[in-house]
Amino acid sequence: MFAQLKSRLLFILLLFGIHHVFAQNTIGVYMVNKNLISFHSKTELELIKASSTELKGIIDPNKRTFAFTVAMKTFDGFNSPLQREHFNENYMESDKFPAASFSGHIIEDDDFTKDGKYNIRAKGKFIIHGIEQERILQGDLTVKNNIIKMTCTFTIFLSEHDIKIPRIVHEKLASEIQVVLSAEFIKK
Amino acid sequence: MKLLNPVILFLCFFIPTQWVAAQYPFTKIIDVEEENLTLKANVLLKDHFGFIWIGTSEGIFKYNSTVPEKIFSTQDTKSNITVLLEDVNGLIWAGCKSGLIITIRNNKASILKLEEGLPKVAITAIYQDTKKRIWFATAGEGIYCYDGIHLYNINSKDGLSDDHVNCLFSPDGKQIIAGTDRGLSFVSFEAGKKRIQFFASKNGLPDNIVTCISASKQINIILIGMQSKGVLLFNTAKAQIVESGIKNDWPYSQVNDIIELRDDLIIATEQNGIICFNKLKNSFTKNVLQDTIFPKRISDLQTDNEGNIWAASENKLISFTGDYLKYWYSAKGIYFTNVHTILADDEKRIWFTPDLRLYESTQDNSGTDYLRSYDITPPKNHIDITGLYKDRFGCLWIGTMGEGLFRMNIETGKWRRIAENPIAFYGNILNITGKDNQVWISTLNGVSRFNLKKSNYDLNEKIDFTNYSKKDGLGSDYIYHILIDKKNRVWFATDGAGVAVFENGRFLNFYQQKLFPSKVVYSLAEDKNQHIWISTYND
Repeated sequence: MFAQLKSRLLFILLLFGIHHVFAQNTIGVYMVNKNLISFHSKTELELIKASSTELKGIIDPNKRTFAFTVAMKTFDGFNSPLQREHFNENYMESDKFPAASFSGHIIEDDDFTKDGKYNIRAKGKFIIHGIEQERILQGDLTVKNNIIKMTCTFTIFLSEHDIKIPRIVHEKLASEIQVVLSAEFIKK
Repeated sequence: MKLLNPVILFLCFFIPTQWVAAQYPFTKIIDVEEENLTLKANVLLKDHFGFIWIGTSEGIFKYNSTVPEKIFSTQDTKSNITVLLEDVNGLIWAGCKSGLIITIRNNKASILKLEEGLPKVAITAIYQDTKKRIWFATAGEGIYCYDGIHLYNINSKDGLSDDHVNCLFSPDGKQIIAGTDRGLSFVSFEAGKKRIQFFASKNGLPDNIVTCISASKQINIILIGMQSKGVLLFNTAKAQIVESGIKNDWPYSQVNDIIELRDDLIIATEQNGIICFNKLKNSFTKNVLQDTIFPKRISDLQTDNEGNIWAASENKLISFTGDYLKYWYSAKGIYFTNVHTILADDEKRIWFTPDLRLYESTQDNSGTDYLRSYDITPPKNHIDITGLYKDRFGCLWIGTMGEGLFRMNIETGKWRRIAENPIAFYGNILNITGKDNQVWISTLNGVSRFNLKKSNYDLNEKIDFTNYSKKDGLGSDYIYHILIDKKNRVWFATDGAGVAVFENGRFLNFYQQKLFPSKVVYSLAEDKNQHIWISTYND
């Protein structure tokens, strides 16, 4: 119960509070404009993939901080409606843990306010299924005319987030989920 | 009992009353170069085989006892190697100035590729903890910990004293001590929780810039090298500096590495070469290597399996004999010249023979040395002693050139010339060895095996013997050296008939049987793998 409340609170904070987090000085802050976040689980028996365009996020190039969140129920494109239902109810427990999030700071000292291409690493707290893991995610940023385009590929290890796979679907669901994220940010 | 090489002029025990710290018996300089390009040796590693690896400005080399062999180079500046580590599985890890991390197995290198990416600043240290996690220190991004799946970062935002980390060390393999530009950080990272504590100038650290941390022979003590304040001893259990004779008025520039020997600290510096601190005398010796061609910047130190110290210095590797081998040239007013044989016995006594005389050297628990001489023959007729051996009864066998063989009771100092065996009595004794009841001597007239009985505890009791010559299968009567191996085979180094072995009462001559080509063999040795090593003339 407490975990559920904590998770919901976190989701609310991330989803609606991002603006407040950066509200003190939003000059030069970039917000997600367009995005696509997709994942796939590939086993010999089955390829499961889904995506969402509902990523919310913000980058502050001056402070080199960021925060992202995506609601689990916004993922679509599964092989079947039943698969989506299993995803939300059995694995992600989306009612209990409605969102995944990643927030922290960028390791590199590069000046992202200047046009250019940057390979960056973001260090922060990655939360999914209510379990927090510190992660470093590597991505590419292209900054041009006050628009930041970001691409990032990373792996989620289900065991690290206490996402249990029933033995019956072991051969259908990979233990490592590949995630691809692309997003465009515009200056606020 | 072990008979040392008879031509060695140096004794390797602690007896010396006079020696000069700055003088090492042997030094070797090896140029590190590739296709006439001069490389810069940055860092050294000794792997579990004992090979010395060299991280250079242009890749990785391994010293094969003759020249440094190139293992890895990418032909670009990215392979400027700054740090090397061998993990518990024998994998070599190399960190680069560019942040690149390279792994090497079976001399094949590959660049580490991680989903998290790699640091973009220089890797300054690599360490493996007891959980087999690999820790990387960086010059600007703090510390990374790689658990085989993820790469984690620990930096100043997590509480690290500074993101510029110069060195890593762990006394117990669990808590990592990071030397940073703002003092020491004590880091533990368990179950995702980072715990960091400081020790910096406000706690009494004389210099906040910690450049290196090394192991000490004392429990809970580490050696800390600093940018401008030299070296200090730090108690990790009490988290406090230990008072020592090392003063902080340090004029010798930045400390880059420290190796603790028994009596000395060998300190690599940025501008003053190698400094030696003698712990007994609390004194420093600078210009340890006393050679103007040695560069002054020593970036790293390493000890090899023999106890030699290796230093990486600009375009050179320098090795010298630390304190396991010291130059002992005189004691009690006696100059040790023309020493033809040395014996270190099982009672920590050294027997040696400067200028035709027999000397015994002992040291008591307080470190005081005693030197005693024996006159086997009257002083005006001193003879050249060429072989020494201590038998199972504690008697010393003394072989001479031209005056035969003597056996001496060490406790009483009484001796007897072995007259019962003609080749021993008249012979030129080249070598003496033995095992259990056997004592073998080699001469210019073949070899002789003495068989000790209980009654031979009495010095005057005659000893049974059997003589062997080339007619018995030795192949030659000129025998330089005898070795009894772990399988109790007796090996002979001969002049004219190569190597022969005596086993089950029979000789086998390797040269005559065309099993080994060398005709002249000087000495033999057995290694721990029971391989027999043979030194030959011109082969």
